[in-house]
Amino acid sequence: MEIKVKVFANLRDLVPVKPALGEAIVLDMESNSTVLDVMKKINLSRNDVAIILINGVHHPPEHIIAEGTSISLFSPVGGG
Amino acid sequence: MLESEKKILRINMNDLSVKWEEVKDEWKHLGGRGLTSTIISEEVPALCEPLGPYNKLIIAPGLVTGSTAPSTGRLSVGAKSPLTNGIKEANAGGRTPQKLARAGVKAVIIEGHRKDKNKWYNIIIKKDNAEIVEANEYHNMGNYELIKQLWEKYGSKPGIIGSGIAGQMLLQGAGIFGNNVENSDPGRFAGRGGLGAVMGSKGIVAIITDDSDGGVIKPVNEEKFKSATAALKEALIEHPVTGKNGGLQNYGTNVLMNVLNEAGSLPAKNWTLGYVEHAVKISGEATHERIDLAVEKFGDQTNAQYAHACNPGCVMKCSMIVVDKDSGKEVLSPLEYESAWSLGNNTMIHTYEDVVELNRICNDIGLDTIEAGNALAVAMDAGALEFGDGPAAIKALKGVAEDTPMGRIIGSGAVTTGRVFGSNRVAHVKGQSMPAYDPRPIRGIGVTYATNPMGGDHTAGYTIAAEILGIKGEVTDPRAIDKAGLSRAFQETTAFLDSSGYCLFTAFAILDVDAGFAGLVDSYAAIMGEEFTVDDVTKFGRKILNLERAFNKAAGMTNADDRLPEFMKTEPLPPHNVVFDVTDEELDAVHNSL
Ligand code: SF4
Repeated sequence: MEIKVKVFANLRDLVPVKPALGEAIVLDMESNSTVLDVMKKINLSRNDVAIILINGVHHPPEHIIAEGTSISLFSPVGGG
Repeated sequence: MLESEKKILRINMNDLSVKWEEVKDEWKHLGGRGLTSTIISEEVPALCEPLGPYNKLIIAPGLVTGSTAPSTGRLSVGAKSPLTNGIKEANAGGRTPQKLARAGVKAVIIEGHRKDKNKWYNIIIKKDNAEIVEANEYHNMGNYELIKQLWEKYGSKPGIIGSGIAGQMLLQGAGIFGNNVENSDPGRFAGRGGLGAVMGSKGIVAIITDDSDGGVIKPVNEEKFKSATAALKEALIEHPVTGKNGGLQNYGTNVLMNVLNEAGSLPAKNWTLGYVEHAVKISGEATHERIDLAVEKFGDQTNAQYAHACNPGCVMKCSMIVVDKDSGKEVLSPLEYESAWSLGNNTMIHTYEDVVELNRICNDIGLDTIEAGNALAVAMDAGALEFGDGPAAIKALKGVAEDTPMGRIIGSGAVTTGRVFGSNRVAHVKGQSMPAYDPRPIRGIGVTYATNPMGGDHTAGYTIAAEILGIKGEVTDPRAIDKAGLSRAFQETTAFLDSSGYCLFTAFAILDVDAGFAGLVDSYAAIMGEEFTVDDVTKFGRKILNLERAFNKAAGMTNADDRLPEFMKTEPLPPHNVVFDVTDEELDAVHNSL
């Protein structure tokens, strides 16, 4: 199944090919894959990723994703 | 110098006199916001006219500021706000905070009104010596030129803060600017609440601080201070948000643009959308990429830089220097999240250069970027300007210094702009417009906006750390969190941090690392040489909040002022399509002790 993942902050430098700003990486995943499987596929470890958003809602790495899902991943960030 | 040796500098504009006073016992343990709010409570009549002779402008470095502790170069500026008509503390970094502390100043109190409204003054502060000097030649001068001239005139690399053109025009959107470490930008703002106008009403253009005859603030308990600051420093340096190559150093505060956008909580188009595709173009990642490109292209001919400190001694370094992409020359320092959001995303202006230009104009004329961006967005929403039209927004903002009607309207803030153009879609609390987090999907920050004493303010209780960023544990469903309790805890801790002089961003590390929190609190205790523990933090914060709320009450505010605007309860925000649904009872429960 096809899914999309956007990576931000330090994660852009960790994935195999640095995507343009805001550009989604398109991946072909097995059905029943988790966010963690997606992360592994693009060389990201559990510790690299602090925030996982799917449709604007926080999810844990174990979350099972469906066909067509769009995931946004962030390294640890703060500000204000 | 010990903290206890600092003095109060009282400046009376009625007779242009200066007086050094010993610090009263009750003020001894206070610094920063704790001190400004205490002095205002004691000395400013709550019902006074904010721009009249009975209001006072109080400027106080934090209690630990001026010492060798990391990230403590912060300043509190307080007064009765012309924007909210309530008590106000605005906080800034820059060169002045440490210099003021090291020149032996516990607080500056500026009171009264000058007799001759055509006369303008600068105040020069040195150790045990302060002067009021005539400064008509600097009146109405843009801040970039002003700091350049004052830097040349006073050779000591002074700290400079001032009212700016907007403040001298008494506009309610005026902030108090401060020069940065290099004196290249007046962009360190005690921005909110119209305090620039209070300074302008006193006839003051700039306050110039020279600490050459002063000294570093030494702790009473040196051993304790040493180990405490070491523990804190370690927490700050090791934490992935505040440490080396962490989110703050690499991308600045504007790393939040994409987070809030992807969370569907980034206000756009005057608070009608929670996500827009183009936000990424003005995000911290975009700034980072531009800085990398400039360094690659211009090498050491450019000073483009991230991981830049807003004051000497900050280890977190969330600031940066933005340069022109064609020349490599500095154009702005810093581009903060809230500024890029308000001037860019909220106005739908996603052209990076236009956003930088708008921010630079705000810095030059002395406008709070949050208030200015919200005012522009309200004008656009009402049809007076076009959404996304950068050049038109630039023209409108330049109009402040040119004294055009549009300039005056925008410079007067979002609420005034809404009234002039007949719009009630103004995102504000107590007259102060809200910053870059929509309270409909993120309800905890809405509770902070509603109930903190300062008006629409995020720093007063930054629940975003828990609700969105996952500081202190995992975020699961932010909507399930006890919002009132969360906001209360953040508001109390913040009131303490704002009094200590520690930068608020230490919170990202110390809320995660207990030893860092203990280090911060112990360093505070060691400066005074007295007992003060982690358990005292919220009690201290509560006391300050109670004082501030009592002032607001005496100024005429009631629970009805602790509310969000109506449209946030009736207009759902896409993409989550939710309204702000925290009940009035829950809001009133936040500070039920008062
Ligand atoms: S973290 Fe940023 S705002 Fe805070 S003191 Fe350091 S440079 Fe200034």
